[in-house]
Amino acid sequence: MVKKKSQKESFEPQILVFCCNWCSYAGADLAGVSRFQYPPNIRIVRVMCSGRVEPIFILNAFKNGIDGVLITGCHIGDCHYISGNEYAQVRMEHLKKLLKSLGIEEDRFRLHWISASEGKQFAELITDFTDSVKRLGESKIPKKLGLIELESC
Amino acid sequence: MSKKMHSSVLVVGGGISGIQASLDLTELGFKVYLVERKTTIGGTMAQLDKTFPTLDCSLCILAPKMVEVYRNPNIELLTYSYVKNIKGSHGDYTVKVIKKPRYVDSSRCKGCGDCSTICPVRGLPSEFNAHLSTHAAAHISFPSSVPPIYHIDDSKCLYLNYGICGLCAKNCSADAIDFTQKPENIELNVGAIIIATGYEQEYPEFYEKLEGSNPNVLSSMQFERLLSANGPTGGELMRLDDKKHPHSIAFLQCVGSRDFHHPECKKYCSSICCMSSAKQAIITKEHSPDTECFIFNTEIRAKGKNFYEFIVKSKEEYGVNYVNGRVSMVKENPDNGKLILYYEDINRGVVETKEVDMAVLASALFPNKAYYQFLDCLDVGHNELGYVNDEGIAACEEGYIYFTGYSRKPKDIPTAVAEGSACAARISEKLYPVRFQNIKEIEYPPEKPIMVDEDPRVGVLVCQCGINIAGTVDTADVVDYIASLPYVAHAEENMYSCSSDSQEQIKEMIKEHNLNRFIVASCTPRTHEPLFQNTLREAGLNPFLFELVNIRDQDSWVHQNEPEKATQKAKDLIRMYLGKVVNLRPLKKIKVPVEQACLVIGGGITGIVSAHNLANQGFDVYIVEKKASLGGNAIDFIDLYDISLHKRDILNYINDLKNNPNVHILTNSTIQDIYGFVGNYKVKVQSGDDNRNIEDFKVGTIIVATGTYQSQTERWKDAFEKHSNRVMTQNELENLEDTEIPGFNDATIILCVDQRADEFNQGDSVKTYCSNICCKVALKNIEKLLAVNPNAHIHVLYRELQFSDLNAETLWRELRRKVSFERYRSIDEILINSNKKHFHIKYNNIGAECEVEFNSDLIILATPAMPSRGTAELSKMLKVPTTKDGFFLEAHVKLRPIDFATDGIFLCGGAHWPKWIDESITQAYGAAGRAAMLMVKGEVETEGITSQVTPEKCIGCGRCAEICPYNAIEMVETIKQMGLYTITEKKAHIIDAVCKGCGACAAECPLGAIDQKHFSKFQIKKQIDLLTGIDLKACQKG
Ligand code: FES
Repeated sequence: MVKKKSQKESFEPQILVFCCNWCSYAGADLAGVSRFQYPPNIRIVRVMCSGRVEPIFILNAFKNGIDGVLITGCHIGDCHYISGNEYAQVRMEHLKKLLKSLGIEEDRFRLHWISASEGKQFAELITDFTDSVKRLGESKIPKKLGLIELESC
Repeated sequence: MSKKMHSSVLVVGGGISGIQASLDLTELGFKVYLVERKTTIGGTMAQLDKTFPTLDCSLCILAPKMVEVYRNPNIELLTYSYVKNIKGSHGDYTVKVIKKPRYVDSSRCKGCGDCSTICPVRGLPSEFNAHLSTHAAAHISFPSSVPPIYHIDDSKCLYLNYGICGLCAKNCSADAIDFTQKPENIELNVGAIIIATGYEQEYPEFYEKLEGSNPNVLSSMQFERLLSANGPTGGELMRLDDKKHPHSIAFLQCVGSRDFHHPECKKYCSSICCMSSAKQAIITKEHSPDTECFIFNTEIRAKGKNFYEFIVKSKEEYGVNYVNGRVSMVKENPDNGKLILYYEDINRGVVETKEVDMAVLASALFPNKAYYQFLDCLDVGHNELGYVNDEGIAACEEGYIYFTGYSRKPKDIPTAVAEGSACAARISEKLYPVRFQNIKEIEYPPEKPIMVDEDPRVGVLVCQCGINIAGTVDTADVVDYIASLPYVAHAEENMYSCSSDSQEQIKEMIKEHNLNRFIVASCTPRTHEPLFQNTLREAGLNPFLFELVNIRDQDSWVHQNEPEKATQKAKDLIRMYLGKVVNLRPLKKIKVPVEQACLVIGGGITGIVSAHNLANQGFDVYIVEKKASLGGNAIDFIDLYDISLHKRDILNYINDLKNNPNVHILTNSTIQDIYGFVGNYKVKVQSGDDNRNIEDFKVGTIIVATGTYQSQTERWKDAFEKHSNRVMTQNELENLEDTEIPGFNDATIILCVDQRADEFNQGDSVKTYCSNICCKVALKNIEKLLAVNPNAHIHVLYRELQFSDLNAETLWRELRRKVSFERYRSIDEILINSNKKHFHIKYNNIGAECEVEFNSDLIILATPAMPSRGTAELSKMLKVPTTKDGFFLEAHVKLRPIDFATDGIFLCGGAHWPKWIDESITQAYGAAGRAAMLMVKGEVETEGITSQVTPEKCIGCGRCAEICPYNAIEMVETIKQMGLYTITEKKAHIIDAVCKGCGACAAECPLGAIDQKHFSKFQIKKQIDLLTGIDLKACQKG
């Protein structure tokens, strides 16, 4: 029993984070500039707007065995492209239901708004999210290694 | 007039207004010298946490503009500098600027902060944090400072003062510390000057009677910093002495302003404090809903678009308490450390006290010292309000010198932004013959074509950033790993990838290893991507064949104690981005031609001013006006009130327009149809009295200047019926000749009729907003009525007076002696009956706390200003949005007040929101300048990163077109012959010139028929695939 627990603790999840170029990516930068420390489990993919994120990307990530996915963007009303984050919100609500029906735990996926001045909040968010994914343990889907391929078209 | 004219402009002050003016000027073809007294640009706005009324994060929207200034090759940024003297006259000035030494070599400083970390001199008050925190002698104002360069405070530096220490120089691996720097004398030749020196606020200590030295009494700027996520407490709201959360906060309005008795007080209203306090109270409530907020005020002034509703929201949704009364004294309660406020409750007419944990002084804002030095420099004086006087402004403008932002008069951010654009437009009107003479266009070598079957050859440069990255991440290990990955032709590390010698190194690498893709792993693409992209262009590669991987801000700096994991993260990130880079395609920015003509919709003063400015800059202008003549509402006024423009000026402008062959005036005309996009709008106008002339023409840009009208009321209908000629709106009175006004001995002006609906103003046609202008129009009407009958008794029934204009306070105090201003609580309590002596009025007076009744012969009503009729139809035609009240909705409330989100269309004046004529004129110039920026080159460049449609997959559902915020997608119908059948097909088509590249459509398309260039489905999928690791064997090709 005891052993199992410590195994769980040493588990380092792999987490994918989408950041929009204008707010949350800047918030992540500010966390750095201010040296707010957070767990090194996340890998950020930069997109121009949270409205770019397609649900299929998240499914793809889980299919590859990634343990958690976090989508971040500007606060509602602050989107650089006016309403991109509103579309993201709608899509991700739908996606949540789908993930549930696929048996993927709710806590593995989150949508959160971070402004360019919220460096601290970004660090806190990552710490909190990493913790909650850690608590869930490894994703049930075995990890797959990727290939470097060229687009065929 | 063969006088010399310089194609350069001096902008003094790098706050938001100066930034806006500078950016616009370069687009209009002028070189800009931006001189800023501080070490960074950004001004006050950079210090704000959020902005009203949208609660936008201030720095989020400002920082991109600051970076834009920094990168603009045609803006020479002179920070930590001041203007010593100015000689010359319009078109030809010689300016002496002194650049103070930073003791840090700006070409070497990498902004890492190592100098500051080691500096032993601590405890200097931070100006950025309004003295709420301290910094070292070597420091940077705030993390996103522009330029991102440190500086050493020479008043405290040990080395500079005593020749000891010098630790920073030893600790700086970039060798950037230079103690030998001396003040530099710089001489500039410019054709015009913009003054945007901004404002200042006293620290609370200045207000002794308000216990200003108490640590829990803060100025409004200090409180702003306290709320701010990048402030002294990281956004945690606490008392600075005992670190406890305050349970009650008082905001004290009008501290040190609107006061004619005390010489140290300002005689005007600072114009923004009521809104700012409401905003701060709301943010406080969002931080901790239990904290009680009290705003002590004489009256709340919410001047701006839907600002009044913001105040109502603060009361109703957030429970902010407004106390009608001015605080005269604050004392600390020695028993519990709380603050006791002494004030008069105006509503109840009693002196009261209140205990709170914290007090915020919304104290007077005023031009800073630099401003007065500047006035001396220009040899112009100021008035008793402390602002440049009218003669001074006239003389300056004659000499192509313009004041903007707070240095012109108190105003909020959007007004300052519009004014910055306006100054640029006015200068462009003067200097247009010499435009583009000093503008740098960079020449690049021809681009190497990338063949479809050509394998990617990627170069990777890993930056050590001194020890900023290498101190945590094992960069050598990263390079080894990356070099082993497929398609990586070459990988190496270096000390500072962003330094200028590194750029040469990158070019060499590209040549030597025949690279066709490149990755730099260093800091953030938000600031550095353009630099490297530029290097790629110089090396003959398409700039989009590049990715910047952030292993500093998002890796080494945030995992300082976990070097192994940070190294692993760097490897993973570079690998993921490699997956993207090998699949990148070269992108082109296409140039689309722009018709050098502008359509101005509306022939009122705003339309006239816009048209006049554009015509003088050499553009074709079409003015379309519904009525039979130009001039609109304002031209009927007896004269324009409290602005520097006169009626004859407007008439002269109209004459100029009539005589200009490039101006086409279409009166009695309505727009039938507009279609197209930026640069290419086709317009159909129906004109002539009855003969139904149709005119078609093409324009590149459109300015909407449709103005407002004043509505009629249903209130007191029965009473008004009998003497209907004795009841009129304020506008109607203005339009009457003196002789046409029915005789009167007693006249009553009723303000806030059918507007500012809250608990006191109910009804179907009642507006929730405040029209902002009625109170000041009332002043003008009082003068008019008194001119007709100097002995008349005039009542002004009001709720709260909304004139926060510079002169309004003085004008009002003047008139208050001649007429009676009477405050009522609820419009429903005003009873009006008709009688033989015309009208009998009865209402409840606040202050006197009793019912007042009197007879009156004339009633003038301040009903709401409404968006001009036809606004809804026009908004459909232009495909631009309107607000719930029907006014046009600008692209961004704060920073793009006169643009629409749709490129090429602009708005000004009442079409945006009811406003005083001078502000309308400012917006008119601003809109003209923004339109000119697009037209001046005759072409616009599209974004490289746009969306693209695969027509075979598109089923024409139109979802993409529906959600595109920029109307960049049109559904094109094509007719197809399929055997016997003719079918019409709809396909989405992206208008590249309009697409902003957010990629929302790509995510929305249910069939995957749209993809975003540079962020394609495949590219992102590859990044995700490679996150977990790489199967190297499978990667090896057959
Ligand atoms: S740009 Fe940040 S969410 Fe749209």
